Amino acid sequence: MSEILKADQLTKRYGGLFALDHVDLSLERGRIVGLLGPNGSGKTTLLKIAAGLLSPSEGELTIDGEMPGKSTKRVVAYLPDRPVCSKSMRVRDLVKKLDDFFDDFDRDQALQLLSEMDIDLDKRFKELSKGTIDKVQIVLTMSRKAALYLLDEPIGGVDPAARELIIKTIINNYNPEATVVIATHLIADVEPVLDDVVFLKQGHIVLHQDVDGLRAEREKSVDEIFREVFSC
Amino acid sequence: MLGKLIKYEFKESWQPMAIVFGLMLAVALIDGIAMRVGARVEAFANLMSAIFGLLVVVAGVLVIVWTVKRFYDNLLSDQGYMTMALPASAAEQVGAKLIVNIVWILAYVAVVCLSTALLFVVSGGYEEVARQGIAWDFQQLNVSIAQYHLWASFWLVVVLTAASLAETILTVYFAMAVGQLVHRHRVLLSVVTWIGIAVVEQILSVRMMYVMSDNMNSVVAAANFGKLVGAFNQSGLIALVITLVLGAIWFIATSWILDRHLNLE
Repeated sequence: MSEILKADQLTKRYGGLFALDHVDLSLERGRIVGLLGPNGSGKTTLLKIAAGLLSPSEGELTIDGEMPGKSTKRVVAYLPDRPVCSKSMRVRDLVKKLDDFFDDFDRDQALQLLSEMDIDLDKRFKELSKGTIDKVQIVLTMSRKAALYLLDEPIGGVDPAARELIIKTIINNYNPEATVVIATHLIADVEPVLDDVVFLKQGHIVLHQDVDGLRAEREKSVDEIFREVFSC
Repeated sequence: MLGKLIKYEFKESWQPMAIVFGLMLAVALIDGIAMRVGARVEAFANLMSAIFGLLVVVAGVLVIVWTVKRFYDNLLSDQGYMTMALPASAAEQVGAKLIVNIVWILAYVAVVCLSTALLFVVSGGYEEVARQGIAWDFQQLNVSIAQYHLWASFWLVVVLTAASLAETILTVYFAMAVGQLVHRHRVLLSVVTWIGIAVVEQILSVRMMYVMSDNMNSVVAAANFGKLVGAFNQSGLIALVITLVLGAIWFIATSWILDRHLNLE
């Protein structure tokens, strides 16, 4: 099966509001996919359902043919859009914990990357800035040799120099046979690394195409196309 | 996976427990020393006794509050994004939390007993008892225990207490799992759910006590201690089975909700 993620009429409702509205989506293995859309378009909702952290109201989503659960969590590496560690925990302890729980976690790679970013392993998370916490979380996520990476706004909260570092970290360290889904509204920064794009608008998919084909067809950058599609 | 979850649950929770338990033992020791010194520091000893009493209550409340807070923080709030992304089933997550919570509560009870015993010994209370020659007829006590199988009753009470503790914790977990199903007023729904469960369980247990007390009254009237112990054990076993069944229901329901209807927001 070349398809790693499949959504079939996937819907998530909050009262009368549709975060995702009957979404059909299929992602192939080995692709870097930009899940692009403005705030509130449903990107985070889609990733959380895939990560098994949110249940759909209707429809279904499968990872490698299975519903999100214990077995899919073994092969999915999820980066949330917020700090998620206990503030009293040390960086070193989190590395150890992830190494313990995930068979595909590369501890040596994680320690090397953290060292390259000058992150003190003995610091507690409450002592770290938000930008540093973001870096720690992205390093630990990309230190897994997962089949599917779900990265929710990996560069959203950091300065431009750090964005380049994070994108470099993603590209240089992910499992090359895996699929990487990058949810972001900062298109220009991620466009150079994307194979495919999915545009999400108010819970609907309005475009799903390979980047090269899209650029050739419209003779514009993805960033420019995005601005056209989502112009107010 | 359950073993790893339990290991990390203990690792991430032992420090506040150690502080509280250590404080209790330390205050008991200081109080005991002050009592032994006598009249010269009577006011200080009285103050320490009051602090010790307050600390026992506060520590108990803290352990219970921590039970609730740890489940919520680690599974249903921001930390849940990491915890629930671990390759473990909801049943394993709930089971690990339950086991560790029970251990901490039992540890609290043990520390209360230990610190009370420490206070008793250090203050000289034990020596006073020995000096006054208060003798216990252990031989007669052993005969009675053997004759009426009182050890069975003792262990039944211990197991029933532990089962009731687990069942109560599971009702809290279940209430929080129900609360997270909705988008708004989650805490309110959790509280209402828990109160509803508590009320229904209380009504059912009162009705059951009425039924059992009829049986007990007739046994008491017959003035046969052996039959009384037997009736007590029978009631205890029925209560244990009901508690275990209820606990299983809350465990399965909580795990099912977190497995199929998790809504981390």
